[in-house]
Amino acid sequence: MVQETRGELYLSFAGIWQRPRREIADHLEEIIELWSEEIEIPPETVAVLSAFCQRYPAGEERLNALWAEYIPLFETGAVEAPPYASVYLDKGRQVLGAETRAVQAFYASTGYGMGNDKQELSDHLAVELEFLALLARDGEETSGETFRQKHLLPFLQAILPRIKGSRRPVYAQAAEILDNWQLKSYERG
Amino acid sequence: MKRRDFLKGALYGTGGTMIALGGFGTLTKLDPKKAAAAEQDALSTVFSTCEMCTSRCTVALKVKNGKVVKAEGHPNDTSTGGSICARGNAAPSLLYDPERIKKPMIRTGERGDGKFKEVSWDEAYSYITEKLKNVQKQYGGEALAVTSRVNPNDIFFRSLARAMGSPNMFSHEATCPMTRTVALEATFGNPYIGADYGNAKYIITNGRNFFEGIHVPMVKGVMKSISNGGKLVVLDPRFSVTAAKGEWVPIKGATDLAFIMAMANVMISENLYDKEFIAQYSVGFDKWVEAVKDKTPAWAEQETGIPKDKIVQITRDFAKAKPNCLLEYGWRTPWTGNDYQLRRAIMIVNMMMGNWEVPGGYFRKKGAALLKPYPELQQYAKSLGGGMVQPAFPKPVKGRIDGTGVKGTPGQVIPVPDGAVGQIPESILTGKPYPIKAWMVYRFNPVISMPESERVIEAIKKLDLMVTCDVYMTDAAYYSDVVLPECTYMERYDPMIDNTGLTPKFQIRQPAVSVVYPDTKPAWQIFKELGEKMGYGQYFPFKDMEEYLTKQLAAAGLTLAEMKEKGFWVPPGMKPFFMRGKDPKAPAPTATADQKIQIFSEELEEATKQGIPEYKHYPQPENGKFRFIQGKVAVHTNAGTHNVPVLNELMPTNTLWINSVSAGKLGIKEGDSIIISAGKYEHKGIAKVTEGIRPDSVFTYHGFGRISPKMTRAYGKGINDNKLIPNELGEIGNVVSSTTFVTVRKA
Amino acid sequence: MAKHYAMAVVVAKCIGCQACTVACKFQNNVPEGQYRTKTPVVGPKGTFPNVSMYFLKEACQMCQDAPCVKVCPTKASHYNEAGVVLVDVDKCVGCKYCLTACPYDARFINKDTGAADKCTFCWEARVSQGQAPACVSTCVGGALVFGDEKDPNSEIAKLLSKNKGEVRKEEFGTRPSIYYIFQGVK
Ligand code: SF4
Ligand code: SF4
Ligand code: SF4
Ligand code: SF4
Repeated sequence: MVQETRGELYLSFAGIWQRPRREIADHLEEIIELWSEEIEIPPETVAVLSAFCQRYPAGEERLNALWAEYIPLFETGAVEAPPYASVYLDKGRQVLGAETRAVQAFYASTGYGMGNDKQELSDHLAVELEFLALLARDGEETSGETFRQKHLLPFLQAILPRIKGSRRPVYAQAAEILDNWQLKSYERG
Repeated sequence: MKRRDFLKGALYGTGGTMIALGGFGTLTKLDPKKAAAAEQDALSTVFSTCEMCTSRCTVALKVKNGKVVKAEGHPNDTSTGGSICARGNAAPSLLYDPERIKKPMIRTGERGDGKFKEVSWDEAYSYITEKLKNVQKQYGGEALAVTSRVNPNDIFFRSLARAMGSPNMFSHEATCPMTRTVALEATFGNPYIGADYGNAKYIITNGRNFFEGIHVPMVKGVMKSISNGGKLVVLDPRFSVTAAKGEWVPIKGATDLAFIMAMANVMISENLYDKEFIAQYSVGFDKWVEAVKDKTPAWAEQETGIPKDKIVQITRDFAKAKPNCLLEYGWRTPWTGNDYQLRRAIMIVNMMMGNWEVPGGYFRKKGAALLKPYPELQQYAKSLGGGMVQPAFPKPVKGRIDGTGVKGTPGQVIPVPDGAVGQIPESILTGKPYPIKAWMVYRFNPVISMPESERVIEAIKKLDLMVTCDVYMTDAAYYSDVVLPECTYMERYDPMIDNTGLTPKFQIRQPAVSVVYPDTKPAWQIFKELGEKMGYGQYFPFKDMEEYLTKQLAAAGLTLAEMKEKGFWVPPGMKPFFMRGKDPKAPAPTATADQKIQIFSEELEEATKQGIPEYKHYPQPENGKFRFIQGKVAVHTNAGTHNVPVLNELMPTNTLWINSVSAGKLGIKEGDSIIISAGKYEHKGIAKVTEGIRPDSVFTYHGFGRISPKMTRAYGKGINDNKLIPNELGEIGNVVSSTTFVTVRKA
Repeated sequence: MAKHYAMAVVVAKCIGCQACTVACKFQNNVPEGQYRTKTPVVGPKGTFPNVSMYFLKEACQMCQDAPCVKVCPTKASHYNEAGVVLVDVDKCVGCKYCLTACPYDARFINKDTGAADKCTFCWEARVSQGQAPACVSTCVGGALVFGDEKDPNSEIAKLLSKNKGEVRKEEFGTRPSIYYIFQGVK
């Protein structure tokens, strides 16, 4: 896989696991297309996603439909799959644990840090994926692979089964696809 | 846009503008020097004020690597002895809980189906503003009600209502200690009265459960008293932890006033009270003599189920300890419709013991104004100032929905800052005296904290706007249109906390760490920004909380820097001050106009035609029914902490306590699933079969059985007491919590 | 003279508030669902209305003749320089012999470290630094007293000289360092 594609894939997943916003929601079709081309996916998975896109055309309605999935899944109260690595990889099951610090330190070692508006915790799934997108873009192959092995994969192993099991159509399918790419068929470019 | 242009563009930049950042901009390129400075390993201590309940204990937060790793008591605070309770200890568990709310949210589905979207603060403020302006236009500003658990940010929260021209500002107190406040105000002119437990030799408590409704300094005091050989008598239908530490007298529910009046009767007939004290410091005693003349121990035995000899013996022993004896005035008090008269009678009997302004007695809280007249104490007479000067608010066009403040009616004595919060659902649902259309709640969860949960929900569903500001998706938040995420006490400044008792005492609440969830905010900031959006910026004339605090402290000659370093301030060298501590004849004025203790209260006479407490007989449960009573547990705070991971782990659910004989008759065994029926409402639960409760009563701990599925750990676990209790308002607008009868059957 | 750290639990003053339980968890990073100490209720005993109830703080009894140390095959369980029974996490192989040997059910396998765990008297972070253990310092009822039993001026020595301190399961000959004072308990 070419480096450029890998960067795009990472960024597409970063976009998916972020809090829903118009920019991403409106480009859902494009993201699905990218996935179907680059990752091996069973057709029924694509079908579920396409059905969602048809049922909720790009716009406010689609965004709200994503919110309806995102909040119970990741955000508030009965969160089915807290999106923070620390919750899985540290004792205590809370946010801002040792894993958060380790991830932050890794970002710093490659010259990255959280943006000034600090809108997200550093070990949020979307942030880790965005970081890998940036490394891919920068051609930082070794760092990328180290980060993937040390931080991303253990996190994915813990969180993806939960998202897949959540019966939330868009996110469960996206988790399936990310799983296929990262855990089942990943090959170095 | 062509396929993949979007992602490519984001990653590589279109037109070169984004190349420096790339991605979605969540991460940026770092200044390498700054990165190194961020690492900091040493354990440091930040002093603050706990908010896991409302007792406001001083705390020392231990911070390592930018994380609060432990909460401890403030080592220099003699009132707590450096202790904090289980809830205080659990603070970091709340701080780092992934279940906290993290962003403002607006409802997208129907109320109660739990669908929300996250929005920016600005969108949330705009949404609220638009809705409130509509309500104001259509129904008038008074159609907004605001309610909070009393706290230092109330001034900002309430400014929103005031600016809109609404008089309808409420605390939660009518569901808790308001009847006590009314009694203290009527008797002493203000409610700032404390008890010196540690030096008491005999303490009687009607139901106040010192050791489960924990306030650390109070526990220390009561424990000191009993460890020094003091006597503790606990009147309670249930065998509480407090009862286990003293003599348990299982009084019939709703009859406490009979016991108190009989005490007075015995004291008078046996000459056990302090006549000189009564003559010098009080007015209206003759009317009390008249009122209790026929309240003999024999009569009280009929009412309370306590043998008359027992009543006499307790009264005699209690009086022997005078003036170092305390008849506890209570905390969660809205038991019956006329509960305020129970609290009045309790304070009157106390005063008969002359336990006023002496060690082991009741005292006025010693703020600057009280100290000034004493030359030797003037140096300690410091008080906090205001943090801002607000312009005048518009005068509300209408009176309050609950009649608070109306002369010649019971509303006259409802404390203005509190109000009768139980009136809100009534006004929403019945439109009387006029409808409430918008309700904002802050640190208050009416669905669980007010009686008749389902009626409260029904009322919320009728509103044009419901807003909740809290740290969790509480039951009220779940039914709200807008949810505003506050940060926890460990992440923010609050206005100064005045915890004056026998000496002045000021405490700071300051952030130990920066906000964990970046988009949560301190309440003062939320209300200030919302106010500004609504065009009420002039009512929030301060830049930030540091500026506000600096002003408050300057008035007391203190600086923010020293408060931050020390955590709290008491006048150095000042000893606890009792006005009658040295000379039992010394002046000890109350805050009333004549400076005397109002045994007969003109004010109550005007308001309720009961200037002197009158006994009211409440029915007792007939056969097969039980009085339903509730209480606090040491590891949880009211409706506040049941979802905090560590505390939930200690106690995730509650049970229904039922006496073993009563349970046997119903074929109910320990651990059985049961159904509790209050007629209109029923609730499932688990039975705890015990010897520790009267056969005619059942009991459960409050705050369980949560309705919001977004509080995973607490959701649906246990019994929500308030589902079963009807929303009945007492004589002065308190809720009525202990006159509900239930039946119990196997599920 | 060598020190002997001991703890007294004044049962009449314990209100079962679990402040000790929670303080211990944070002080020692005890994993979710596990506890080094807990304070369960005993009772209510008797028949209505003549009932009684008290609370008993449970934790490692800091035996001076500790079965757990004796059975440990790797010497992970040991007495430190001050006679405090500790577990060396690196040496522990998780064989659970000590869990079985302990007559007080004080030990568990820590979910995070995989090693045997129990009360340490907060040795490393607190007692060796001259501070009282976390549970003692937060105790709301004032029921816990800690110190060097051999120092006649210590609070604990004075307390034990005036009150009878009972040890749990004396018949096992483990010579615990936790004393329960039942005076005033109904
Ligand atoms: S009593 Fe407990 S929860 Fe309340 S303020 Fe004190 S330490 Fe905090
Ligand atoms: S109580 Fe158990 S774990 Fe503690 S020293 Fe004794 S035998 Fe060992
Ligand atoms: S001494 Fe320390 S380790 Fe032992 S129970 Fe107390 S807090 Fe826990
Ligand atoms: S903190 Fe003290 S009073 Fe509370 S349960 Fe523990 S030992 Fe008992």
